[in-house]
Amino acid sequence: MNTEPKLFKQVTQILDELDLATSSLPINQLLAELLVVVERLSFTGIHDAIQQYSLENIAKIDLLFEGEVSDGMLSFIHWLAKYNMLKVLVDDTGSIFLNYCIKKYKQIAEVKFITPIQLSDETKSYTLGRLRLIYPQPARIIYEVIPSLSAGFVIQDGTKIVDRSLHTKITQSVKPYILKQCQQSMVNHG
Amino acid sequence: MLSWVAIFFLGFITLVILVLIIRLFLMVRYLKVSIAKLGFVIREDAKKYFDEASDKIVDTNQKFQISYTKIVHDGTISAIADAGTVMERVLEGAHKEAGSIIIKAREDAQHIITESRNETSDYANQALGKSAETIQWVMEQYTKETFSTDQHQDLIKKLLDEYINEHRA
Repeated sequence: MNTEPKLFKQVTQILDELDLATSSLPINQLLAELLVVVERLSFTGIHDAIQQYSLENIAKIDLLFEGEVSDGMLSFIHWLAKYNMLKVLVDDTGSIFLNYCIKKYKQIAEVKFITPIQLSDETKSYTLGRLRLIYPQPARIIYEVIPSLSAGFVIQDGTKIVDRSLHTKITQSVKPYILKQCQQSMVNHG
Repeated sequence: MLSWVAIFFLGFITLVILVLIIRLFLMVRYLKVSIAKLGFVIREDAKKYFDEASDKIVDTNQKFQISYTKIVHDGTISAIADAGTVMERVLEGAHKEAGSIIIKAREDAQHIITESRNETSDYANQALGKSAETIQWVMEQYTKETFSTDQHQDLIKKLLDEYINEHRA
């Protein structure tokens, strides 16, 4: 009986779930958190104790990773526990999985969409749809908030920066104006 | 005979030394007078220079006060107008409320002028250079206070649509 297609399907499913749960995380943070998960699961051997997906076991997982990983990563661990697949992230299998993820994610483009305010889910969904026209999957769209932008947005995709912020717009329009006024003032007053 | 010659020679040497001492004394006196004159000239020159410089500082500060207020005033209007053409509807309100922004800019300008009144023109020039920051600050404060979350999000959507269309064209 050939088990390879089944295993391949399972691994693909896990990677898809990881992508979905952690889509808002920067790649460096995702890999760092994944390393923590693999180390901690291997060290504690908690996966042996969690054979059933129950509230008690969820509490054990939450306690183990409290403050160490993001909500997205935690929901990915819950998902693995629910389908009894935590062993994928343990010991040698965990190392292989981590190694694969490092290679995979290092090749994926990361696009930062920076705004002055936290966007609502509706606006995030809208902007994501629009950004996907330029940055299709598997590129990661990361949302970041920098209040000093004042209004508008900045896109950083690693190769270029698209700056449509009010802060930059004002800087661009005011500085030349002031310079011109100063020069004029110096000429007028000797 | 020999002693008379010696006495005469010594007398002559003493006379020469005396003449030299008198000459040296006169030279020192003359030099003192020259130094005093020179010192007077230098002092007067320096006084004149510093008087002129201090007049210039006062003059610069006065001119600065007038020109700085005008620059901030005009600059704020210019910044609003310029930003308004890009941000269109969302910043439309800023044109209407420009008056309050200008009053705020003037208050800031007055504050800087008061601080620089007793300082040198260098400080005034530095403060003048800060007028751009003042205008930026005023505009940013205006945006923070006036923009609702919905306005921010509408603007982001609109600007993103523009960028996507430009990129795909």
